[in-house]
Amino acid sequence: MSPIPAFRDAAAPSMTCDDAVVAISAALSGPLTSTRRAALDAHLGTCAACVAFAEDAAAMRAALQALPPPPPPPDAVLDALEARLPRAAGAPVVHPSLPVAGRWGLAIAGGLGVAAGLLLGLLVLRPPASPMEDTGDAALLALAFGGIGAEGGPRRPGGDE
Amino acid sequence: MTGPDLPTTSDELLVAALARGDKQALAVLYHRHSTFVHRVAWRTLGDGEAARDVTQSVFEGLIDGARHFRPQARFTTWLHRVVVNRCLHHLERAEHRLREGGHDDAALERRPAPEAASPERLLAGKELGAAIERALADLPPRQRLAIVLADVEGLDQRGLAAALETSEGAVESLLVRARQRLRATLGALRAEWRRP
Ligand SMILES: [Zn+2]
Repeated sequence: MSPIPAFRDAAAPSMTCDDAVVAISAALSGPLTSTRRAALDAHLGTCAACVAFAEDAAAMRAALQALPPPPPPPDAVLDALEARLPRAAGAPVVHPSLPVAGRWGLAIAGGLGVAAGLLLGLLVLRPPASPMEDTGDAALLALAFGGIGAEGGPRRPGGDE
Repeated sequence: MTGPDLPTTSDELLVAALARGDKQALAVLYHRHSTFVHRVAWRTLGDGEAARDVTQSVFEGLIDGARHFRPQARFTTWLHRVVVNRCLHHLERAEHRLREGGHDDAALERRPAPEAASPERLLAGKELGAAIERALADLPPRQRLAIVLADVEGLDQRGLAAALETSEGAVESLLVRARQRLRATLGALRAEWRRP
């Protein structure tokens, strides 16, 4: 059983072991703010238990990354998905309110076939430096698909467990 | 066809094409993202058959919902959320079946045999991968997803918060609890991990 020191050394800056392990964990998936980094470094300079946690956390991450990748999903999945497409590719579905959508639909409907339709789409509709790319706005995201993300499963927004 | 045929088309534009039943748009999106979806599901559920089901379910959701996609939204964030929800849903259903006294024989058979966890076997270096997978399977579902997305897939705090639909502070909390629990499970192996 490894002892966990309850609190910081009297001379160390104000970071407890509890705060330190959270910071160590967070630092593995992104940079800390400079003040938090400095406080953590000071803490690690005086706390062997937190140094050990940091080493183990990094080693566990490395071990997880070193796991052999699983095989790709079987081709049958894509076959099943294609069978689910709402209608045969090539059927014209034009949305007048969406010029982009309309042009795609027309290209396909024009008897050019799927490949030609996509090619035309590429030539004509190459998106300008990405007005569609995100913004990262969570509210927009939540509205992105009228709820299909949630419908298949439980949503537990809290950081529980 | 293969994904690289349309390498410069944005995901969002492909979703718009998919909404009109475009088979090639589906194929490109699938080739671009199915490996990620399948890998996360596999690592989270520890089971190839379940990972396949979740992968199919995620893309079915994409097909069914493509018409409603709003172009301001970022496709990958949506995708991460759906993967998380479908994995949680799968885990919850499996647990429910077990709680109800049903026998999920297939799932039980897929679990590693208890004797495989003996310390002697775990201390062998070649067992490390299996031990990590077993420790991962011991985490509560949201902790498991947080670790998979953070450590295996390399998402940053912001991406994790978006995928798990929670705050960055809650992500930090989930992750640290997951790491502490993993560490406790694997404590006997520390010397092995620190091998140079
Ligand atoms: Zn400490």
